[in-house]
Amino acid sequence: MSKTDIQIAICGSAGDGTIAAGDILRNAVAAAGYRVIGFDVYPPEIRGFGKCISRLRITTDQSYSLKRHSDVLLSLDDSQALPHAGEVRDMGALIFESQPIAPCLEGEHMSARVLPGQIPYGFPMRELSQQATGGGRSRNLVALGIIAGLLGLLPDPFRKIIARKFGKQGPEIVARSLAGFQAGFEDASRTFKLDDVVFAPIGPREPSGRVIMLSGNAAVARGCLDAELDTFFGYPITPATSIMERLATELPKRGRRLLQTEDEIAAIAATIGAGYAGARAATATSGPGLALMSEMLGLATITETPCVVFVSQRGGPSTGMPTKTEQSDLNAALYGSPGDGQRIVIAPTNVEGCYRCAGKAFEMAERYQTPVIVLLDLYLSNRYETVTLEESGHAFVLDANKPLPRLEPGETYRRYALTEDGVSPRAVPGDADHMHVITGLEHNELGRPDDSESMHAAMSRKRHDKLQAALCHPDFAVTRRFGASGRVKVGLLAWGSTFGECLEAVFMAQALDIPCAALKVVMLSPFPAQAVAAFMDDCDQVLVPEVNYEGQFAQLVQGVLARPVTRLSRVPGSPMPVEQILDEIRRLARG
Amino acid sequence: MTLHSDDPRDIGWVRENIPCQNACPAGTDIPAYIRAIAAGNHGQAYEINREANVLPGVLGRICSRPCESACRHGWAGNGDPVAICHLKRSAADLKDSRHRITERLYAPTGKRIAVVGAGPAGVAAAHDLSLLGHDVVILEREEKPGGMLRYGIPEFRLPRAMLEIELRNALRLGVQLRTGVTVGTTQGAIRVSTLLADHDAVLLATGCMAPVLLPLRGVPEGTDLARHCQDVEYGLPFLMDLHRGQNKRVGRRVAVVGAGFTALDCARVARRLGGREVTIHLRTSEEYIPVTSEELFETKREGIRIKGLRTPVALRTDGDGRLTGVAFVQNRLGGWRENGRRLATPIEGSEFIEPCDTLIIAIGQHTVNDFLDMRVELDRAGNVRVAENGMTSVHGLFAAGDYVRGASTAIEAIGHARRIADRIDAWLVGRQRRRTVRIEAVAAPPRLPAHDFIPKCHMPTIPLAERQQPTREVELGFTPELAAEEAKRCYLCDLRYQIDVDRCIYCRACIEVAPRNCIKLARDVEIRADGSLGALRETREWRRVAAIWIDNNECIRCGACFKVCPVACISITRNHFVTVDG
Amino acid sequence: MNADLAASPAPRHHVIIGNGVAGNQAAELLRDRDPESRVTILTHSRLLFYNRYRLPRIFQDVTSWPELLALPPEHYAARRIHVRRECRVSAVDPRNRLVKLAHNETIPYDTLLVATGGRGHLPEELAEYRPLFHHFGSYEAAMATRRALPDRGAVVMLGGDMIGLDLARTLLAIQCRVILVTHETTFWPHALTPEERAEALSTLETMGIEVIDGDARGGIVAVEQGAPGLPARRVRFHNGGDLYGDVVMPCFGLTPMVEFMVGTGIDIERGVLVNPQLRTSDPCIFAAGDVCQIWSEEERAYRFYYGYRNVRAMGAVAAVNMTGGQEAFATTRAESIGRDAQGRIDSSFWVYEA
Repeated sequence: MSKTDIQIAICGSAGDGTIAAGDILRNAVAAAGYRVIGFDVYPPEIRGFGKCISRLRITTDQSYSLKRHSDVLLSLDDSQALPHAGEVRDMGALIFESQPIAPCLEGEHMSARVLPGQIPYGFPMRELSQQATGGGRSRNLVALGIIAGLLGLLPDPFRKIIARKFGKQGPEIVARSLAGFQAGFEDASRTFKLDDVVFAPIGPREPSGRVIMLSGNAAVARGCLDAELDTFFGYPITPATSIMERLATELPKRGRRLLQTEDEIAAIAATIGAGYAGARAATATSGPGLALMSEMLGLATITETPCVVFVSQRGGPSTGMPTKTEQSDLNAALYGSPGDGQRIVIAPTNVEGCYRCAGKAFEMAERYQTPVIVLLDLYLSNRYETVTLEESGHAFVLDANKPLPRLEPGETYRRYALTEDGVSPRAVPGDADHMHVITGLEHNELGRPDDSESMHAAMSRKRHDKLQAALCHPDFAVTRRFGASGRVKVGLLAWGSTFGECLEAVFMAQALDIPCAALKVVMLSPFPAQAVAAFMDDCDQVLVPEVNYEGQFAQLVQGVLARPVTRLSRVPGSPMPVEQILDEIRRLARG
Repeated sequence: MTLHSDDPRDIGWVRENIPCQNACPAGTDIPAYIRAIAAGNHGQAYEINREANVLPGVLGRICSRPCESACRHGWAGNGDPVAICHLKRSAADLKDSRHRITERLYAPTGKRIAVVGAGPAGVAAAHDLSLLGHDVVILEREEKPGGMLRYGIPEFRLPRAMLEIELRNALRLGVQLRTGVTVGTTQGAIRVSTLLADHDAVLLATGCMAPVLLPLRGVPEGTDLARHCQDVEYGLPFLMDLHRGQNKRVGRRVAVVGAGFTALDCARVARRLGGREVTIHLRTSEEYIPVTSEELFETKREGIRIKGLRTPVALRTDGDGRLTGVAFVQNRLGGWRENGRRLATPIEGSEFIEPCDTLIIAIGQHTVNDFLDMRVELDRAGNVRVAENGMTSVHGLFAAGDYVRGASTAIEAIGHARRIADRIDAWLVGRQRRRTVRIEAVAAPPRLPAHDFIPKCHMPTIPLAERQQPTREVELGFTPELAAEEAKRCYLCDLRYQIDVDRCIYCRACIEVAPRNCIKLARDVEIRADGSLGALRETREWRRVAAIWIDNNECIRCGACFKVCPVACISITRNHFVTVDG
Repeated sequence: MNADLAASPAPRHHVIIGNGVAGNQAAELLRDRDPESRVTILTHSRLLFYNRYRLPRIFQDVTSWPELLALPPEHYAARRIHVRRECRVSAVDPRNRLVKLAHNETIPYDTLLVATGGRGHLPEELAEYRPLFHHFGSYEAAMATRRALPDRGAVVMLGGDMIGLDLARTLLAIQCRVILVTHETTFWPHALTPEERAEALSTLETMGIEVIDGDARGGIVAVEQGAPGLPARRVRFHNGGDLYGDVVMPCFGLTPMVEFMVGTGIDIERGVLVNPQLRTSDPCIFAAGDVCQIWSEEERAYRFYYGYRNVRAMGAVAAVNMTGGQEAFATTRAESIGRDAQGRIDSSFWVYEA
């Protein structure tokens, strides 16, 4: 059966409802059974003068990056969309307004930019909106109707999503929105289809769980909730804010609480305090916030207190580029705290990974009694994908603490008992007979300050060695290989959202008969040296694409393994183009 | 809240922003009567019409509709103009049969006025003058009143019963109608000088009905071809004879020469009288025919062919003097004439023959002045010269309608005649009346956005098979439903939407919902010499915006801005002319 | 080269309205003769240039529209010919040399070529039945007609101009029934004597077309939807009697598409009037193809010239003259109707090669 792979871009001005349209579209096609990956571009302004683009790629099997060329571009505002006309492939569709109200000079209308191989469709969207709803505000819904009608999508999933999305605003708004959608749908259904953008029907799938549309941040929030997060402390910062916003609505429903603190220092301090008290707590921030948290993270490390920090990276350094994506906080996450402060750092590569890493982070934090930093980036945080969740039961272990053994009579509880695996059974305040002190000073097994040479060496070893077990944490793959097995000409090492583009590039390279494979590295600290080395043994050349200037991950690999890699470090502020990676692979393959 | 204003800016606004009323030679308050029709008050609509045009049912059928060409709903991007004329007719058709017309009557003045000619101009003037209190007598040459309306327009376009009723209503308030009376210099005719002596004023409204003769090669100028060949007729006399009750016949192949209403009427009549192949020959092309596109369509639908770029140059007859064909010369389109028409330049050596057995010539009409028994100054066109108030060079002798301006349209004649009647009244008794603007506040937009998408309603017509009957009216008139639908389409341009600049908070919500490019960011506005507001100077830079302003020219009065404004700074007023004494 | 063209410093903009044979031929020659200029074709169509005479092949071997295209899309980029589709011209302003598009865009031109061709003429008395007819003037219309016509269905062809009769050949070949209702426009644009017409009609009958004398039947009085269970269309005649068919196609010849030119001051009769150099009454505006009436010195009249060869030649002549030439259009062959070797109707208008 043929497969679907259609990418739709909707471009408009801020205030046109571009993003809302994209949201409805991706939910509707997901409800129809397709897999989706989507990413929106926003301007800083709310109305008037900025460009919004909502792009989504709709596939039969889940894909992990957007394509360079879209199959359909719909312009809600030509003045914003004109530069993107070239994005559509040959035989793809360009949809635009055929009756704009304002006069324009030559070349300022989308019909002037249509390339000979593309198919132009002009629709009177404003007029259809006026006619169906009495106003021009439903233009974006008319546009959705046109997309559905032209591409042969069933209207019912759209109608359901529209009713749900606008339900809170009252039945009149819902009726008006549905009328707008219907008007566009009917007009487009009557239009003779000249493009070849066609959806292959979705066959029945094996039931493997519930399929829902999530953004990276929404997935993180969901993972936290499914891991029975007790409390959240946060300070808003782009692009992590929506994690807190979502939890702010959901936690109270479960009888739990969230506090917005006065700054990131207070946020991490409260998180650690809650962890000390035995609760599952987390905070979320971005690069600049992580910098503020670095000292307190050191406290969590030395006191061996579980805490979870979600860091969604953005363009840096400093305030940097708040609305652009980057992967440049790796060094800060790994090495940011003063002293020997190793902690667990994990980085999902897709939205489903965000869910799993979020939930697993709490397990790891408790099990290894250490801070866990989950690294996302703006692209992943704001990206939408269809995610399959388990139907029922708990996805995560709700209590990963090492069991506290009964004290012998007369025995004093030793909070930092030196054990074989380095993890000391943890008591929390209130546990009878287990009173103890903790301190940021170097300490002995009882938690009392002790700066002797032997104790510091033992505790340092304890704190570092215990983390190695994380490499074998149950139900968690720290690395995973894709592509050709055995010996390959070019191997890619990548982490975070860049892995999606790498995977596409590997498939494209294989189609060009270049033996190629990719290893995704999810756990960055402790570093999976063995797995990475084994992979590198299989490769003639190793390429490390990442979105930061200094090649931070390449540096990590080279530092740990002392083996050379080829770097592809670029800072476009947006996901690395697949073609760029492919070109590098081809160059290396030529030798 | 109602205000009256004499401010030239308000008067200018009404004049410029209600294009239909401005285009109507009679100044009919079109939005007002369409509003009445939309509310189902057909009687009221009829009377509003009648204020400006005393024969609404007649004009509702045969008017040339200059209002529709100007209608804002027909402007580029707005769709089709409102079917104003058909609505006018529907007011007449659908008004309650018991509806009684009331009119304001002034006290008698004791002045006596004679009107010569009971055509549209004469009847309109007589009506007005009798209302103003004068003693009016109309002298009409034909057996019945109506002029061009009765004798020039076929019954399938204008039923006679309805014409009778409206003429009677126009003249009922004391106008003495004397038909079958000739005014002129021949034996038994009443002389104009006599009329002048017996009356305080005489108004000549004899129209423009003498046919322009067709010049042909080798035929002396001034020859009346109709006398020379029994198969040749002039258009208007042909129709007049027919409407006087004579039996007219045409052959199988009829050629009609001419491009105006009369030519088309003759062609359609010829079809009904048995002409199997009827062709209209134009000197220029279809683009320059002044008739409405609806009528052109019906003409073609009835099987009449239209051929352009030819001028007749000779007749071809057989041995018995019967017509066998017409020789034409091919034309090029030449320069431009004042009325927007083109000159036709004959191309030498391009003659060809169109076979036909009947020729009807309808290339225009001219006035005649030979009935005058005194010297009257004429203008260059040969029409009587009149002053601003309609008086000729002879004291007390006035003229109005086609007689003054040449062959025109009924509504022009009515408009002109009523203006002249007002001048005559002022001249006779010194009464002053003036036009002022009444401004009424409107609480909310009276129309729904959906109304702007109603497609133009088409006039139902009788099927082709039923058109053989020559007196059967072709257009059936709007049903009440169609009239109500079409009435909804009128934007009601007499509404003025205005932003109070002092209260506007520049949120631009109105611009976002505007269906046209009608709300603009203005940095300045032109102020004309008379103080009225002219063109807006727009800007795209936010910091140079002085005001957000509704461009009333582009505005289609949809009300979206009014509904969305968060501070309710947009006002709606209805602005229309009223005539008051003094 | 006339002075006007020589003096202007910015690249000249040649604008062509219409994406048919005439327009495209002109575009090619304009590009050759004026390499630095901009050449823009404006068309309301969504498709690139295809030859309309090839449309009957959608009933046979052509299954998708890319196969119909006369030139591949790459050609236009390579030749720098900007084909702007989905552009309807609403007005022309000769004084300011502007073309106004229906979507409110204004395009300045240095020279303008009107090559909009003709649309199928529908006699006024049949205008109200337009929604019930099937058309063949564009790819989309042709596909809709194809969908409406069942296998071996019946086509009622009204009029029967040479475009329709060309289609009729294909319909007969795929075993459809063709019923022709004659009209004065049968065999348009050929002007036949009564004897020639009678002979041609009898040839049509021997080809397998059922010929109904529309005149004798008094003309068509109504076209209706067929009742359930009957073929989709019913045609009733004035003198009684009726016909059934699956589709009814009006083939009454072409009417030039000049609506957007009315009111511009350019001379128009039925089509745009041009001199033998194809120049209109405005020195910067030309016309070519089915839309124009060319002055003929011999006939001392304006006349239309139809057929692929003529239309293509006109496009070339117009382009030459838009770039300073003085060529006059001359038709290459007399138009004739006759019989081919198999005894079927053949027309000089059906020759589609140069």
